[in-house]
Amino acid sequence: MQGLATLVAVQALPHTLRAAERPPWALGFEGVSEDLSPLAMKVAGDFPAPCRGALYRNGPALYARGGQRYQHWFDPDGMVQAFRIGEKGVEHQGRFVRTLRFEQEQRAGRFLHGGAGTNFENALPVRNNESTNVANINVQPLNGELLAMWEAGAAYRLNPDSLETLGTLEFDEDLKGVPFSAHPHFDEQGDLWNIGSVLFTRRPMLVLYHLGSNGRLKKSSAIPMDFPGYIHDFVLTPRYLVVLNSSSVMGEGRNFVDRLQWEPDRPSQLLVFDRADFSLRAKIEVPATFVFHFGNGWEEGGNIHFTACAYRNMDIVSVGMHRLARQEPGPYHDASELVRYSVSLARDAADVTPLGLDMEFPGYDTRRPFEAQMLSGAAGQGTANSRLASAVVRVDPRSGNSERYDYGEGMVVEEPLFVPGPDEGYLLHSFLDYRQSRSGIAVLKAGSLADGPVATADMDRVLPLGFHGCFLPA
Amino acid sequence: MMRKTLLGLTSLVTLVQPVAAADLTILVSNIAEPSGEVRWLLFDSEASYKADDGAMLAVRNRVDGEQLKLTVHDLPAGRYAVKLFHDANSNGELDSNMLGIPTEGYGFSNNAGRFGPPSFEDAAVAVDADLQIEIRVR
Repeated sequence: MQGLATLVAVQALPHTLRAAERPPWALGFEGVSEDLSPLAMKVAGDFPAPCRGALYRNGPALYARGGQRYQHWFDPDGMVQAFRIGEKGVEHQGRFVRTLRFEQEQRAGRFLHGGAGTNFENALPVRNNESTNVANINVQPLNGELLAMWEAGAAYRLNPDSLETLGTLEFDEDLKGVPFSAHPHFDEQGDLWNIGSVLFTRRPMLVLYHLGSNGRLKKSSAIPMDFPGYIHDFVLTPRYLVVLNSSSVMGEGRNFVDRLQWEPDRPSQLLVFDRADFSLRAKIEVPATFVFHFGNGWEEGGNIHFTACAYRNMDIVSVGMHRLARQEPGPYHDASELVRYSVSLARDAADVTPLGLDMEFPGYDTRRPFEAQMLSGAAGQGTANSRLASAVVRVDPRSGNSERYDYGEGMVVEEPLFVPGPDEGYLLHSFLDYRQSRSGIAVLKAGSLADGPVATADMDRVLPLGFHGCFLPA
Repeated sequence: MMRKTLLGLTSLVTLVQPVAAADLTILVSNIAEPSGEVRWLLFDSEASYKADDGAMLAVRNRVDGEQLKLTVHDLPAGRYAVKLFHDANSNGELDSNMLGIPTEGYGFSNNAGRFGPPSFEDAAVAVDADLQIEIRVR
């Protein structure tokens, strides 16, 4: 067995590819090793007044320590980026979340534990899931602070002005270290709802959370699951929480990613919970699918409607995110397609309608979370060899009609966020221009996306490609 | 794992059997906070180790730093395994959350076991002469 472990480790050695074999977008997976102090960005055009404030983003950033390198996009330590948009200019700052793991590994000067998709030969045993929390998926506001979130452990609290880490979000002893997923949703009162997917215990569990806008726990519940499917996000409607137990199922393997197996013959499961008491209202089988992200949910005519960026398998996790993080050329994975689910509780059935658009990172006007409304997203993955988005898109989830602006090859568009403003508002997103080795942000006018950005700010500081964030107006 | 089964004793324990006796020194490292105590159990058989019952020794030691050194004197030659936990709030239990996952530090001889507790076989050390081992609290 020792010999096998060594063989695997040698095969996985970092940077074995010659520079010529590394695709140009590999720049987005180089990573950074230190905090990034505030830097003035180069601005072109005028940022509209409603876009003044701060765009916060989180993502995997620290790829290597002591000659070892992570092998999966899920793994690197989270760094929160702040783009502060003011009257006089735009400034960028980046700071690593001081997780328990980050602090311990900084002191040790090496990786102490493996990652979700990486094994290190000299890894130490872990106490629990918190030992490997890298807080690298999302950053959202709560009670005057920011939450930097992972999905298999606690959320970390940050100071929005300094990005300093304040500690973990704690509830009580029972919930200490219990997974708190990375996609909480806010209701019209500002209460926060979330799930926690527990795949590492003998019986898979789903934890449901309801927090007040002050961050205090109002209620929680732990529900045993029929099978350990991967769950990343959920849908909130006026009355329900909808969870999709995917057909990417935990089995045996060397690490979390390796253990996830695609089971095409196992139907996925829609679970509908009542918001009032977290009771299960419906359990509906749907064709096998794999979903990271959902658009917002609404109720109409007694049915629940929502959109999902659906994959036809889980190659993105088992292949694409490995190869991208290893800075290898493709092929990677099939792009996701936007689909609309209509769930009838009366019939205990769901219809799935493809909307013919390859899209990820869905966003919407969070002031109206329960209305059918235009979705924003990052598109064009399907036509790019990198499987990274080059376009900003806006789509009507009922008709499928869309508008877009495609920057073309060389640009990676990250999660667009809706910013309220005159007319139809704005879309704000970060980007990587890997041909010019520049990172930046851009704002486009919703309704006139095809005109391209009205303002951009960029810098010769290259940021690792990240996942999710939020915009907080000044 | 080892709730409420420990007695307060001293770390300098002398066992009476004189046959091929040796000293086992255990360096407990990576203690997260200087509070509470380390509670540890020494087992000489797989059966008692698995059952968490019938430990040769059940000892607790006050924590005042990141490390702790424990010595068992005059141990008969044989195979031994140690289980320990850091009872940081001195409530006598290895605290855990609603999932049953420990939230306080713990460790095993050989630093064995990646996620859950290791088998006796993996945790056991052979003591036939004076030996020092390190248990890194996870």
